[in-house]
Amino acid sequence: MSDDFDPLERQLRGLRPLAPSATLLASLDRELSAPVAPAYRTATSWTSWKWANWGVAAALALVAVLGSRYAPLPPAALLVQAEAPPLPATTYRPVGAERLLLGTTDLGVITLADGTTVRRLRDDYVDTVTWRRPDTDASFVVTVPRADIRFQQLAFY
Amino acid sequence: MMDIPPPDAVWRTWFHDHGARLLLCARQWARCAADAEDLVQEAFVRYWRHQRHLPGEPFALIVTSLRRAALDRAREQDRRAAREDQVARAEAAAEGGEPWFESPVGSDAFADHEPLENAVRRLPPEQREVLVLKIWGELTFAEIADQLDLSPHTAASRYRYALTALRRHLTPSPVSPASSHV
Repeated sequence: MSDDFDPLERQLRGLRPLAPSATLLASLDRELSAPVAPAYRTATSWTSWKWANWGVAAALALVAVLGSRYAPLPPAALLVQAEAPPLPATTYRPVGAERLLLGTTDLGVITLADGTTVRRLRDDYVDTVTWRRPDTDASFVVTVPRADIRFQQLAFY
Repeated sequence: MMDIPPPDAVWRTWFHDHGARLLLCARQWARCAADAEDLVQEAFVRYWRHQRHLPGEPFALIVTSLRRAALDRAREQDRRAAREDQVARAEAAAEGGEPWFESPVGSDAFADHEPLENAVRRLPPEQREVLVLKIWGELTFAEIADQLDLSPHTAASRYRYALTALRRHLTPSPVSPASSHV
């Protein structure tokens, strides 16, 4: 700081913080000695058993393709019924939609259970949907406030 | 500058060298010694398992984790509990309780350690945390400012106020003229 405070700073540095208790050391020992489940990694060699998953997936895809080729096609009448019926002119239908971002709020930095440090952000939106009835050209607007919470990963440098 | 442990270093070596200083930092944000040790355990395990590969000073990284863990705990409590906690922490800091520093041993030991420790504990919390991070955490004012969400200038000011207050506590009051005549 300054020469004025040097003797006091030296005195302070002479104080030695109390060592952690044996209980803490034992807890750390127990926790850090426990095996940690390894994260799943993709196969890195051709002899890995993990390639078997791709084989199974390919076989299932083949069965699905062959099954669809030889399955009987549905009658045309059923296909017509499956199409959505046209809306009557007296029905309101959405004719416009708009999303407006009002602002972003920083909710602070938190640490997730896996140790990742992230910043929590809240985006406030207003969603506006316009509905119109074709036969009368009457319309109404629905405005809905909405908030999204998202995490932004942080890195220490 | 602190030693950065190599990736394969045993955690005990690092913790032996720096654990006491970490615990002292944790005590600035914990209600009691047991809570402080819980915070140290949480932060150190997180660092050792997940953040050891990150660049930067390990001590500063763990202090960051410590403070966040302390803040997370405080948020879990309701307002009343937090207020009681703050009062309890201030009282515990001012009136003693578990010691923060080792008792000096040997003839060359610093004799005035007890008044000095008491004076440190009596400091306002916002000055004390800066003092602890500076003296025993060996962080720069920029690092302290980063840890505490302050400007470096404010961190330096608080440090200076803390030293001034300590000196005032430790300097014996001059004998008043009235009493000297008695």
